[in-house]
Amino acid sequence: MTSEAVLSRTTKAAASPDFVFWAAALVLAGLVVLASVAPILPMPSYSAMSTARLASPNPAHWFGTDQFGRDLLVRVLFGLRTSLWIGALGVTASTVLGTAVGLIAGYTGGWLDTVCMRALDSLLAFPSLLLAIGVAAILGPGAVSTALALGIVGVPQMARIVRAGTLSESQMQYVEAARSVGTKTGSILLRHILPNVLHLISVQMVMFFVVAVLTEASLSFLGLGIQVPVPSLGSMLKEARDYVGTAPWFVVAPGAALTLSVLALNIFADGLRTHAGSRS
Amino acid sequence: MTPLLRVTDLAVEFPVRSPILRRRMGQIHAVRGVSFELHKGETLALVGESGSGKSTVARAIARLTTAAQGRLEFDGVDLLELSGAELRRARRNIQTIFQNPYSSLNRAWRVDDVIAEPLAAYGVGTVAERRDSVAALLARVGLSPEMGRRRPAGLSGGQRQRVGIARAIALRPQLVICDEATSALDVSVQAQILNLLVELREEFALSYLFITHDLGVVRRLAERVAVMHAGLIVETAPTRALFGQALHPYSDALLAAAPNLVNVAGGGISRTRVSGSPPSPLSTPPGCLFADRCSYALPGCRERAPALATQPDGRLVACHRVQNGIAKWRDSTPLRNLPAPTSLPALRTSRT
Amino acid sequence: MNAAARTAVPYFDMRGLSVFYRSRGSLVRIVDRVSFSVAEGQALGIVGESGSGKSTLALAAAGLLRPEEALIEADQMTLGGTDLLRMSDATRARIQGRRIGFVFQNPHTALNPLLTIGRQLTDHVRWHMGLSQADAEARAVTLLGEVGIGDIRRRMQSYPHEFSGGMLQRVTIAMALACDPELLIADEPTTALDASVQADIVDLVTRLRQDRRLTLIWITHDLALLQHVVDRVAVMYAGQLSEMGATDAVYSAPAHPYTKALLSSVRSLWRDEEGKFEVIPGAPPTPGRLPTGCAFQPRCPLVRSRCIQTPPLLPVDPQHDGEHLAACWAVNGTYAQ
Repeated sequence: MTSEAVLSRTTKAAASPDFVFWAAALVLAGLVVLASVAPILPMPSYSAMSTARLASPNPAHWFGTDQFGRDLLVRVLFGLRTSLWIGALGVTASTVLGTAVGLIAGYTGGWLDTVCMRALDSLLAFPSLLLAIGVAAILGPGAVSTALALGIVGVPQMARIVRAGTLSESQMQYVEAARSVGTKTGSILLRHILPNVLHLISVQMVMFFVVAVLTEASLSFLGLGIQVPVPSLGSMLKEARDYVGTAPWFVVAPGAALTLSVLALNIFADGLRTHAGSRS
Repeated sequence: MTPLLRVTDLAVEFPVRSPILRRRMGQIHAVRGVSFELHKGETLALVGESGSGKSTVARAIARLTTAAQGRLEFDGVDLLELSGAELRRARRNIQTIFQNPYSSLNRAWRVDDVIAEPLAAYGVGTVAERRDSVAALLARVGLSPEMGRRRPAGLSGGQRQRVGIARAIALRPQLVICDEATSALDVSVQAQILNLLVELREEFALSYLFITHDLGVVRRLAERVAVMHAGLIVETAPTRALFGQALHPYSDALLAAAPNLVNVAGGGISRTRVSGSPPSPLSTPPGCLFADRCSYALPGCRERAPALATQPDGRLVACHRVQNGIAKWRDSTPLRNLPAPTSLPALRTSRT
Repeated sequence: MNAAARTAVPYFDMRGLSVFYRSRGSLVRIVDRVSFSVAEGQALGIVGESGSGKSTLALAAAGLLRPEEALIEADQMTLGGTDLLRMSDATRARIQGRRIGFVFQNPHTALNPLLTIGRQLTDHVRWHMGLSQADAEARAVTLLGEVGIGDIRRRMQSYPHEFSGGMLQRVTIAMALACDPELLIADEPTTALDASVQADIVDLVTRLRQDRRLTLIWITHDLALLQHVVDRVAVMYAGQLSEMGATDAVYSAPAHPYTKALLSSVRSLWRDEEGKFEVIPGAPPTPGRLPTGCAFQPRCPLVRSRCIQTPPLLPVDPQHDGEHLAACWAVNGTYAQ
């Protein structure tokens, strides 16, 4: 039976945004691979000085050299490695802590919830960089304190998100059902609620990773983060400031690496959030 | 014989708090003093409209909500006096089948794990034994083993409700509370689930407290019915007696208002109409809470609240006119003219 | 009534309607070539369980499905003589909005919780009829009175959450009547309400029908309620129209195996008898996973090889009742040619 008319026309499929997402994912994967294999690449050590100071990019040094003659390509790769590594530590710490607080506060409610959330709100009142500087100043500079600072900075936001998800899941009848069959509170939180808020957690993890990388770079730029001789993109930028006019590649190399990572991460996080949103 | 469950003067309240300062502004009286008994092997239906408090009663018995006062004697022991490990032991014998097949199963879990949860929570058997129990339960409720490996999203509403039933009977409880267990299902599926509930009742020697707003379902399933209005029970009677003739004006109106396909001889929807709404749960007016909606209320009805009293035929009714034997309200003319329903057009020709 | 129905010009006529939902790049058929018509001033009930496509049918008829979510095809669609197919989407939408009133199932979500009832109703009237603020308000007051809301001045200033379910549904009905529509489509309007209130709403709609000479389409899953509301009934199963006819005819002598089984199951719930409830064996249909031909095949006691070919609506009792139709090859008890 043929129809006389089609009452609604098919809408044009919008330009697929997926391409950009997958491109970003690819770039990200590439950066991670590069950062991972950096130590075993057949390249000079990142602290190996040479006489070719501030050399522009040439076949011997693809990215050029810094003021001590150190190969910039190696330093950028190791700097990337540092950023990603510290960022990951910070994200892990804040996720574990934030999730725990969010689950407990959201499920228990009452004064415990109020106390926790108000305490975290006061942390949130500080711009993340300021907070990180504060923590780093108290703990002293270095990799460990940087990771710790990042961890603390990330807890309030993660806790809020997990708490919101927990609040809404707690209204579902399966939570009541679990209580009625005798499941204990801890099991309810970990085995019932947590699996259903994982999609929120994973998106927030990636989004905070962006903040973590940038914050670490900022701390190192200010001299509070990763210390010499371990290279960090931030500290490289700090050193490069003096040579912007004379050796622009010195700024471009770490700057481009940082920009590329953050851009790819942002696009990836955005895509994840859309995907997670449409799935539920 | 001690009843399996004896509820005495159960009351449940929820505080109403102001938004910022959380000052206590009032109380919602969800259940205002409910008493009934349920005997072993019996099915008692608790019926009422939304807001009558029937679900709250069920949740209070399952200790999912705190009761403000009253006694909940299960097998002779007052549940409200128990706490901690003792309460946990007692609760094992009272399980609930929930209303919403979509939200009462965790969508991230597989069906096998859902059914195994009560067994795991109470440490029943080894892991292997639990797996066997779950398989047996799945089969008993009419689901294939393959469905056990799926997540709830892959099951229809009726199938999910079967999973809920399997979970409820896993611990072989004595009392199963069916909290609107069939209300969210299609009509054709309701019959299947009800048949299953009847079979399981005999096989596992269960007692049911069946909460519903749908009177039709009650008739074949329950031996006794308790009708609730505004947080109170107004009538408790054997099912057949109630459907034959309801004593309380509210029960009567409820029965008449329920459209059904069997008593259509007269045509049209019944003229005995309940108008208005129950009093707000925030207030406690004096007198009978049904008086404002009752066509037969006397002045005295608004002064003193009637208590549930036993009638000659064994029923319990909370109505002054019934208790005082004042000329049966049913035979009297309505004292007030509530808005008359407009006449329905002649929709149907006479039946052959 | 039968003679009148036969000679009455169909006021709303829908032929060969199919609706597909777009899902992950593919189309899922929800309504399968359904044809029905309603005469002016008549009331048609469309009854079915979940998955029957009845709500989708109602939304498609009222023009409430967006092109991004659904694909609608039809052989014919006329409203009071106006051919709705041969016009632009925009014109059709305007006509559907103006001449068809729609009552939604859940009054709490159909109304904006942040605006007063008066404001919503007035805005609605102004938008559709272009009246001044004062005129629109006056009209809103009249509408609220017509649907039986008392204490109107105070109610106009109230918010939806201050109303009970039944009162709120009256407001929704008032909104549906704002433009003086000719056709009122009500999608499960009483399902979310208590039994005692349902009867009031049925009364209200029936009275409005008489006063305004409305044509009515009432969608529900509640077989028991429907018989008090409509003159004719259409039964849907898995997107297909199984049976159609006068209410009495369908309820007292159902011809399609599904209708028979459904009525029997519902009646068994109420009857005071021993033994099991009557069931329809098998599981409800899943859109997208239906058999070729008649959708009821997996659960039908009369299924034969013929059923792979979807049966058209065939007259059940051609001699006495030309209006009672069933989509079943075995409609008279014998298989038609």
